[in-house]
Amino acid sequence: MFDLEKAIRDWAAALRRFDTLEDGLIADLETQLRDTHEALKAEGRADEEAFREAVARLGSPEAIAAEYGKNRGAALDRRRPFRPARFWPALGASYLKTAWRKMKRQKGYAFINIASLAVGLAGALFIWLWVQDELSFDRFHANAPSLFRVEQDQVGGQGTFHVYVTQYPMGPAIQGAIPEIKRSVRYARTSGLVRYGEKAFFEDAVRAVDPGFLESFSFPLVRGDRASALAGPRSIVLTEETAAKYFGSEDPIGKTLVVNNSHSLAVTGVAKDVPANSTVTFDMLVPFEFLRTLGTDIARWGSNSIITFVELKDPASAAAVGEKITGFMTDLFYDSVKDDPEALARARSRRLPQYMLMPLADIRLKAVFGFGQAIGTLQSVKSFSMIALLVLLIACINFMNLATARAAGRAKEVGLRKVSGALRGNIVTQFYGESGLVTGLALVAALLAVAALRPAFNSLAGKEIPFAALFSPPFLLGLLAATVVTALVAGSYPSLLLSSLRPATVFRAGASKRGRSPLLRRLLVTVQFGLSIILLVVMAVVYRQIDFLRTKALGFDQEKLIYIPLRGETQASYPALKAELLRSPLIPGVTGTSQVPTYLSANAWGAEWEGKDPENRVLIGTTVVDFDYPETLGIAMAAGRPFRREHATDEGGAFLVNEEVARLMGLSPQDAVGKPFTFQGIQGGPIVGVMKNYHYTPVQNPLEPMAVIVSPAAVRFAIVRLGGGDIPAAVAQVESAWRAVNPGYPFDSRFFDDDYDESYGQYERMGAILRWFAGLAVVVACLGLFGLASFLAEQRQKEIGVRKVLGASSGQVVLLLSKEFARWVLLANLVAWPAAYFAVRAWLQKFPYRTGIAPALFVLAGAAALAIALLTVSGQAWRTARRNPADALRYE
Amino acid sequence: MVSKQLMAASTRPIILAILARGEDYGYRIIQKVRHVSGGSLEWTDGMLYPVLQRMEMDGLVASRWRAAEGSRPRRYYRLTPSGRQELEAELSAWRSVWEALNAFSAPAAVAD
Repeated sequence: MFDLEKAIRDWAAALRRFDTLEDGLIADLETQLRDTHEALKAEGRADEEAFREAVARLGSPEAIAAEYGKNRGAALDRRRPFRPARFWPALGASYLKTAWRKMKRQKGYAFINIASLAVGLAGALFIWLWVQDELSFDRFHANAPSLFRVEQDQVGGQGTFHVYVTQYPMGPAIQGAIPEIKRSVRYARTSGLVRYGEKAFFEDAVRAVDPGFLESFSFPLVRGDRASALAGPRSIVLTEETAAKYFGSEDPIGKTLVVNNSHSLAVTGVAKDVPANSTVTFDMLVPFEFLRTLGTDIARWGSNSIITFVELKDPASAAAVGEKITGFMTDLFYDSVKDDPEALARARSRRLPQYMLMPLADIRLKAVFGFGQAIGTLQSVKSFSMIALLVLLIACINFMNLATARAAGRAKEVGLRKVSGALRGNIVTQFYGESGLVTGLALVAALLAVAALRPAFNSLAGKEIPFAALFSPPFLLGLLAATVVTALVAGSYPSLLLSSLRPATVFRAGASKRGRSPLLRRLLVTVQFGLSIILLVVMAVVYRQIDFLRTKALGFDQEKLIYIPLRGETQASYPALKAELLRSPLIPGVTGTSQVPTYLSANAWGAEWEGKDPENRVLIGTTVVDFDYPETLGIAMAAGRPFRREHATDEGGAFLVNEEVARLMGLSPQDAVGKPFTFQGIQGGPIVGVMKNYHYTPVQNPLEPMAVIVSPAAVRFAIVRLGGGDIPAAVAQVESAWRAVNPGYPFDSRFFDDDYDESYGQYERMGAILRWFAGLAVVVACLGLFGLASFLAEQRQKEIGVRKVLGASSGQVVLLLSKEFARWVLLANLVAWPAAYFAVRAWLQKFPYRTGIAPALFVLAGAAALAIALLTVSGQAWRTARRNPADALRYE
Repeated sequence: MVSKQLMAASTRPIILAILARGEDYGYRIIQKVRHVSGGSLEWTDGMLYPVLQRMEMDGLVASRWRAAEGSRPRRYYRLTPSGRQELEAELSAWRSVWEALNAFSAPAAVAD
């Protein structure tokens, strides 16, 4: 049977022996051959005879080859002496054209390259936007460089306790005494029931501020005059959103709002809504003096509960001003105790608070609280930036690997260019041009992705990054930097490698295609997967820690527990409310606290007990509660008893403490019961009971000593235990009890669980971002692996073909191909595990209560990476293995 | 029979002339030549292609691979502007030669 195709192949092979006959020319002759052959067959000749005739008609190969040889000679003679192109646009355009054409021809690889770079860039850009947002906090004020917050270090036996709240009268006092202070602005949180006609709401975001607030800070007023809006004692300024809530589209200016059903305030201004990137937030502003009307003694020194901002004439004087404030307060203190020799002696022995100024713009990133707890976001900023760079690095590695893997195919082209006179520098430029083109396209794709996914990212990260942020100069600058760096990094390895090829080695007959990958490429893939594994481990640990925080026992029964804020007048209704609530069978217990029950944050110095070292100052948490506190919350007693009404001296004269206090006293809980304790104005009152430690703030905060006093009159938050199994029904009963006692006031309650959920929110968000980036990293690494695997499989076609012919099954071939990749990924674990361990350990240190770092997590991450890698590779391997070995061995 | 030299000299102009009527590929060019010359010009198939390549190098023609519907890809050649100029030049040269030859081969006018 005459095989035309084989005959043509043989004929072509014979022609190829003439080296003036290149493949393209042989193709020309082939079409001529086929056309003639067809025509002869159409005339009626037999297949084989027609073929032979057509070949004969073609003419003698020697003659044809000779003619082509003459052409080449003429070409060489005609060639102008080589001058490297002076004007790079022409040459550059040629490189770009070549790059573009190459891409079109190898769509698969081009897609992988662009896709993985785009993903890496998009991730990096999102993080850059996030970082920009964090850095932009509070910078929108015109006076931002001159604005500072007064903070203090309080030194005691347990260490230095840092707070950023100050005393009521301090602001005006230091403004008068320290000339460098242009203006001091006090800022206090307050809340109340605000009513306009039928509309009444509990407002928690009310801030009482000195009138200079609107002058120093840039919260522009859309209605009203900045200088006078808060001048009058009964004025109030609303944000646009709040104004709309009460007044709809009516003009609010001049209208009256009633606070706590007792005090009338006139609306004197409407401010633009506070931007999202501000640590200073409010819905309503009232004059600081109004606090006095609400019943707070703002002339009293002694407790630190408000924020004092200062605007300095010269920002550089901040350190000096801090010292001056310290000096001022020290003098003030000594002045106050000068007539009390005992107090004076005590004072002499201790360190008084040191004051310092914290720049406003630093608060978001660097704020510190308590015993050195960093509550700013700087660490997150650093961590996320690191992660974004890692993902980008993985994407660059993809590019490098793919480009170099195909080096063998490019070698001829490079050799040709070099022979034509290209300098090594030109080759380098060409490849950088290619990486530039790919990066450019990836950038466009990344920008589109970022623009489209911005809202989703905002909800993921809990931010409100506006669309306009994509056009801000810092963002664009970062964009440019990322693109240039990526193009350079990604293009560096292939361009340097290929430009160093010597044409002689390239054009040698049968230039070898290496079936095994060089060390560096294996290393790069290992690094890629290593980084992915690190991210996977970190993500797993973060989620475990969140889970741990959520499920850790708080030391009391926090489920089915709600609290009701008693604002304003309703505070007085507490006894009646409690009685009414307890009438319901669905409500087993009611108690109350003076602070938000899920966040008891007040603490004080000055505790004393027998045997305590007077030099040793201790900071102890303090709160005032109602009777039935431990019982309602389900706090177990370590020793002693809870407060009981029967004991008349309990009220305002006794203490319940937690185990930490007993430990501080150096006593067992049993021994601590009955001991006299001096604290918060109560001299030598007995400790009636020691509660087992319980978390009175969310679990990410350390648990410290706490001493509790009972006084129902001081309760501002009612706590209700819900029972009976039907929670909505129980809540309904609470509400109806409320309405019975406080008919004019809206019912507002919160579940303890909801407060805790909210406080874990920041970690959840971080976990979510991490999850996405770990996923991105894995996807990008897999894309690279996929491209590499398919390329290498193609390269080894012949080898596979031979193996199959010799009897290997497809499955065995797949195993063979997969084995090599599996080894790389396993090696990656070796590198990744130590790095991941250090990273997570450092993060977990922040938490006083933390989950363990289980080895299982590392193994799991490694196994996951391995599984994904094998899945990626095996698909390609299977396809190659299934291919008919005859096809693979065809061109022998 | 056309002499080798004549064949060689006429190859280029003939190709240019054929291409002046439109884009064409190798096999068809040979066919046309064979057809129009009634068989007296029998070009060796294979030799056409080096000539076409040389003409392309000289900038007289330009080529591209095309696959007409349903058929295999072929390299199509077309005339460039300088090819057209060359054709004009060749045509006028050949016309001159032809006229000269014609003049000499017509019956001579008897000089009375």
